[in-house]
Order: sequence, then C-alpha cells, then structure tokens
Amino acid sequence: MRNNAPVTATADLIEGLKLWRLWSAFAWEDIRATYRRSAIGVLWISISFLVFVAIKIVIFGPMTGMGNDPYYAQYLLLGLFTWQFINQIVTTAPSVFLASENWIRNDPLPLSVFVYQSIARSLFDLGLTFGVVVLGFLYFRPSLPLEALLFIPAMALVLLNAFWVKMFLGVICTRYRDLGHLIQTVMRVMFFLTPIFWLPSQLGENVMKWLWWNPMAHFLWITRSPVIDGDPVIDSWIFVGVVTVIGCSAALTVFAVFRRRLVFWL
Amino acid sequence: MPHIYLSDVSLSYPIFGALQKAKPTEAGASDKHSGEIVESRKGDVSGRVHALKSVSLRLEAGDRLGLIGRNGSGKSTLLKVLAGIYEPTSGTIESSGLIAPMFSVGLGVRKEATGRRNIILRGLMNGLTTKQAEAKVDEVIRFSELGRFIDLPVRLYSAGMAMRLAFATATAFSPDILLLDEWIGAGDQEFQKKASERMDALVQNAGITVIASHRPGLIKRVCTKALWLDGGVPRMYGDAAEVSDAMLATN
Repeated sequence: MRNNAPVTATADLIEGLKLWRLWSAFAWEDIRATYRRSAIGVLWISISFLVFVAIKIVIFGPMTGMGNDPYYAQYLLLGLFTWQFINQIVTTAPSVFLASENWIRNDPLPLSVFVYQSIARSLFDLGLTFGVVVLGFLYFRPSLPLEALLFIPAMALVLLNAFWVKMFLGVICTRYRDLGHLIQTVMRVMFFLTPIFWLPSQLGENVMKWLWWNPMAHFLWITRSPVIDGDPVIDSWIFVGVVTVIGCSAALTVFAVFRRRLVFWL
Repeated sequence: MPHIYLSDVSLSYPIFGALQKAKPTEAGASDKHSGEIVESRKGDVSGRVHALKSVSLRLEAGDRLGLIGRNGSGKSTLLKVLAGIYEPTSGTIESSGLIAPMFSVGLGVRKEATGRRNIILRGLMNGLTTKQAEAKVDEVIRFSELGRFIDLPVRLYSAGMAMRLAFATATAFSPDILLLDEWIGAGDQEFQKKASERMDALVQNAGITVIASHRPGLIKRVCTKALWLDGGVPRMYGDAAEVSDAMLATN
C-alpha cells in the first residue's frame, strides 16, 4: 500500500505511474460525466469528427481545386486527426491541476496522477477519432506505402510531447491564470496558421520559410506525410526531436521546482 | 510503527491578488487569534499568510491528539501539514503509515459518481486493485447505513450522508493515521457513537488519530493529548484535559 506524498519529482512520476488504476478510473469518470444520460454517449466523439471532416471536404475541396480528389480527403482526415489531438492536449493542459483541486487539497497523491489522467482522457477520444480515420482510408485508399509504418513512432512522439505540455502548462497556468486564456486564443489562430486543410504549395514558395518555424506543422507532417505521400520527412523528425528534448527538460524542471508549492496556487 | 514527527515547523503561504487595499484604520488588525497576513509591499494586494510558527510534535502509535484553538488559529493548516499536503516553509516533518484524511465534506470525492464508485476510487488511491477495493464495499455500506443510496451520485447526498460515506470509506482501508477536521459536527448521535467506537479500535490497533476542533469539550472527551494553537503559535501542549481546561478558562 502506498503511504505518503512522494518526496522527489522522479518519485512522483514513478509513484503516479504505479497508480494507473486510479488515473484510468478518474479519466473514465471524466468521460462518463461528459456523456451522462446521453443515449449514444461516446459515439458523439466519432460522429462530431466525421461531420467536421465531411463539411471541410465539401467546402474546402473545391476551393483548393481538388474537389473530387481522394488525396484531399486523406490529407484532411489525417491532418484533422492529429490537429484535434494536439488541440485537445494544449487547450486542456492549463486545467490539469485546477480541475482536480478537490483531490489535491485533500489527499497526498503524486501530482503526476492528474497529468496521466488528462492524457488518458485525451487518448480515449483519440482512439474514437482514429476509428473514423481507418474507415476513411479503407474507402479512399486501401493500400498504403511502406513508409506509412512511420505513423506509429510518430504518434508515440506526439504522446511524449503531450506529456510535457500537460505538465509544463499545468503547473505554470495554475500560477498565472491569464496564460490559460491566452493559450485558448493562440490555438484558435494556430488552426489557420497550420497546414491542416490548406496545402503549403497553394501559398507560394515563401510560405515554407515561415511555416518551418511552426512546431505544430512538423507534428502534422511526421504523422501525415509518410502515410499519404510516402515521404519520411526527416527534417521534421529532427525538429520534433529537438522540441521534445527541450520541452521535457523544461517541464521536468518546472515540475521539480514548483511541485510542492502548487497546492497554494489552486 | 506509524509515527509523525514535526520539528520546529513553520508555514506561510502565498496569496495572489486577494487582499483588499485596506485602509489602515480598519478592524483587520484586531484579529489576534488568526495567522498574520503580510503584504508583499505596503498596500499590495498580494502577500503571505503566516499560518504556523514553530510547531513541534511527536506522535507515536496509540496517540490521540486534539488540535484546539479559535477559528483561523491554524488547526486545519496543521492537519494538512500532517497529511503531507502542505510542505512546511521551514522545519522538518517525518512520518510513516497510511494516512486517511477527512478534511471537509466534498473534498476527496467525485460528486457526480455514485457512493459505490467513490469507495472503489478510494481503494485504488491506496494502491489496491479494483477487485480488492470492491471487497470493501459491503462493509462500507453496512457501516455508513446508506442502503440503496450507495448507487446514487454523491451530489444527491445530505451533508450527514456524505460525511458517513467519507468516514466509513476512509476507515475501511485500515489506515494507520486518521486526520479529522471538525468531522463530528455532522452525522446524528447514533452515528457519532459508532464512529467513536471505530476510532477506539483504530487506536488500539496501534494507530494515530488527530482531530481538529474549536470545541475543547469534545477534545477533552475523545483525545489523550492536545495542542492549543493561537494565531498559528503553539500556546500549550500536553494532557488533553489540562489543555482543554486551560483554553476554556481563558474564554
């Protein structure tokens, strides 16, 4: 049985991981609360994603000059899939600890429990939208290039980044409450600045120079380009690798320094 | 063996933007029994509350400590230090044993989840498997006398029912250290008697109980040792009856 609050940040992360039954249960309670008394419940996650993708194809297909091209459907499906996950991770990160104030003030739990809980909840949604992506690809393009296998490590890397983003933003947004609102605003802008539903080639050559500095774009490229273009996008992997290392170091530092003070910020 | 050792523990915590830009003549300064509020700079809306000053304690197996003092004297803050939720600003704390905290009704529960589900969550929190936690459910239902309410969401419970669930659940997983904040106010006579008996059993099994209350009479009845806090400073520590009487005598 576990006893007291973990002493170090590393112990917190490990003790928290060991409590996987608890944070999965918490995540499941979050899902249950969201879809309480709804007849089709979690299916709404798939349906809303499906409708969103379909509408985008109908409206933006003709605008990109690829009205009936199945390539655009694949482009959108995978682009929105990754984007929706990134967006959910980032926009819910500020409330990782705030939403669990009720527990943090009462029980000496490892704080990482709430980070894992939040990721587990997002993963659940990811699974349901992935179902739509699979169906979409079966319809538009049943055979994929070998490079498509890179999708798996790419998603693993996205997940690792989800971890540091939740932890980093979770801690600093608890202290500085304006940041949470700022992040919501920024993410709304990023939706348009990231090549989700438009192709960089449509905007001329110069756009790539700027786009290269948008980390969200690289996350999209490493998950999408190998699958639909058979392009392994090595430079994007390098970019994402660097972001991961910097992000994890920053998050672990912030967590180690401010972990025990967080309860006073709630 | 369970124990908690506190040595020269002080605690101050930050407050952000919550202070009123008070006029110096206002009544705030006359509250001598609460922790001291210190602004970051004169007239600032942020600052720190000095909630505890130089508290030392040695709790061993079988101890039953009462924390007494006026509202705001630091009792609840000290309980949270004992629970390991607040880290002392200075001084050291060393403890061992499974802690069951019961601070206020509504903390440490999921209100939208059923009572049954909350029992399981508490079990998982203590590192049990779902199956092991489920094994405790019947016993909690019996002790809390919740009957069929156990399958309703906790948000529908009365304060007394929520308290009964919290107490029954917290004590079901054989904790070594029970931390209670003014709990005895809720719940009827009948349940209070049962709860006292269960606390006796816990202490006899070499556990530790700490109860915070602003009522010295209760502490005198239930505890063996008592600590009287005044403005976050320990004013008297010793035999529960003596300390309680001393506090009653000053009022």
